[in-house]
Amino acid sequence: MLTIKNLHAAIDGKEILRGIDLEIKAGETHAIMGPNGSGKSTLSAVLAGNPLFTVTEGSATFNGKDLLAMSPEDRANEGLFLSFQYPVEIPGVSMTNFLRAAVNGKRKYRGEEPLSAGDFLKLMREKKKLVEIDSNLTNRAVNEGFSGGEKKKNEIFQMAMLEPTLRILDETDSGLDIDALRIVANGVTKLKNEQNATIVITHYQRLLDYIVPDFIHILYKGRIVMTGTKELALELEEKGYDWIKEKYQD
Amino acid sequence: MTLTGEKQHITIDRGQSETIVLTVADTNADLEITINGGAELNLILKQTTVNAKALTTNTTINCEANSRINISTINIEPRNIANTLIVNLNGEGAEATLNGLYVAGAGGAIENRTEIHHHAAHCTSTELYKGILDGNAVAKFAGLIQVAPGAQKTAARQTNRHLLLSPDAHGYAQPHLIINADDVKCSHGATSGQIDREQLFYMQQRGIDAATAQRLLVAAFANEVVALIPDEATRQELTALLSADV
Repeated sequence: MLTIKNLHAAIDGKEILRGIDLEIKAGETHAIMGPNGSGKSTLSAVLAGNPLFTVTEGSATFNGKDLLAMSPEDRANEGLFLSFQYPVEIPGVSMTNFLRAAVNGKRKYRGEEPLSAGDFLKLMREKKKLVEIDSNLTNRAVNEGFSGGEKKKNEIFQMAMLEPTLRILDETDSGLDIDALRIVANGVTKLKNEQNATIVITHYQRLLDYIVPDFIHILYKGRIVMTGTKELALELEEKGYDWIKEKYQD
Repeated sequence: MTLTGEKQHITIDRGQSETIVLTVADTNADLEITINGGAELNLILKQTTVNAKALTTNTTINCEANSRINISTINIEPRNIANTLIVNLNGEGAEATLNGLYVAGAGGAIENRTEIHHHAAHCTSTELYKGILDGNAVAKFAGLIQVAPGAQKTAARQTNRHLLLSPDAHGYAQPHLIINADDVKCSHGATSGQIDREQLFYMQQRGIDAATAQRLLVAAFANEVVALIPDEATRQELTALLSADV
């Protein structure tokens, strides 16, 4: 589904990603862990097409297409979804208008007719139930005044509405209490199927108790320095990141 | 009601409440309005330019005790418009709400000059002017709040915000407060900004193309003023216009 080769990226002339190689197949869940500042969030931002970052070298192929050549909206409409670490508030834009534009944006991209108002509201109702999101959140402006937990639940709700094939969760566990974490993780798990894949970016092992990865990659100084299975997360939890830092000092 | 160029007098009788929607198309306007004690006027002033080169509107509103004026000035695609709006709060307990929305594109120039004179005590004035500027549009907002000696317990707030959609668009704010009483609450704020890149990227990440995302953000910016307009038809008209195109 996604093949990343020798990916380098920079912000303000400073190189953050320094040669990432990663292969992700449908049905798989990959966790990317690493100490703060290792480039985890940068990787998700670059894949989603955040214009703040410049790709300086390498490639990323998504379902056979050159991901890096596409606009952020085309990447989304091809099936890439980023659950943001800090979802932005958009006062004055209602959740309903926002989601209708998103759902119909995708349909237009695929050459489909826009959803009727009735069908759209029905879809919202179904997905709200699926991810256990509070009904009144969808009557408000996008993320405006939402608590940290509500924002993360809203990301998963949007994921349910858009049914992406590649789901990137950037530090979805940060700022969540245990109940919110469970709801968010349940949503991600319920929406998992053989056609989609998941990248979980996290600093802590905790989230991986709920979203069990097939592979764990450790990112350090802009490179994947180690790949293993879920036992690697337990080892990190026990030993911290210092031994990685020592081992992979350049 | 459509205005011609001649001076118009409007008086709202004591205790009456009226809503007037004025369309000013391609003509200068000169209005003098008196709102008698306890009366209320909602005035919506919509200005459009089709052929005229330059237009001016002068409006003076005299508010007696416990009266209310709510005026919305709407300029969509102005070519060259200069508005002066003077509000005299003459009697105690009078309340003035001044809202403005202007959407100007290439070649557009719009100036809104407001003066609110607090002559009496216990009066309130609230002003919110927002402008959306594209191309090489130039907008100026000059707002004076003058509080006379003795106009104690005055509450006055003035806000002006410009959203610049192009590097060649210019928005100028000139707040001016003259306060001659010591027990008052007066404030003003002016901002000028662009489309928020983070908001834009967030929307694009959800599959909304950049142009649609920008349109939603522009409509959201304008909606703060639109929502305050006390006329359902005007609100609907503006909402449709803003969601269709800018």
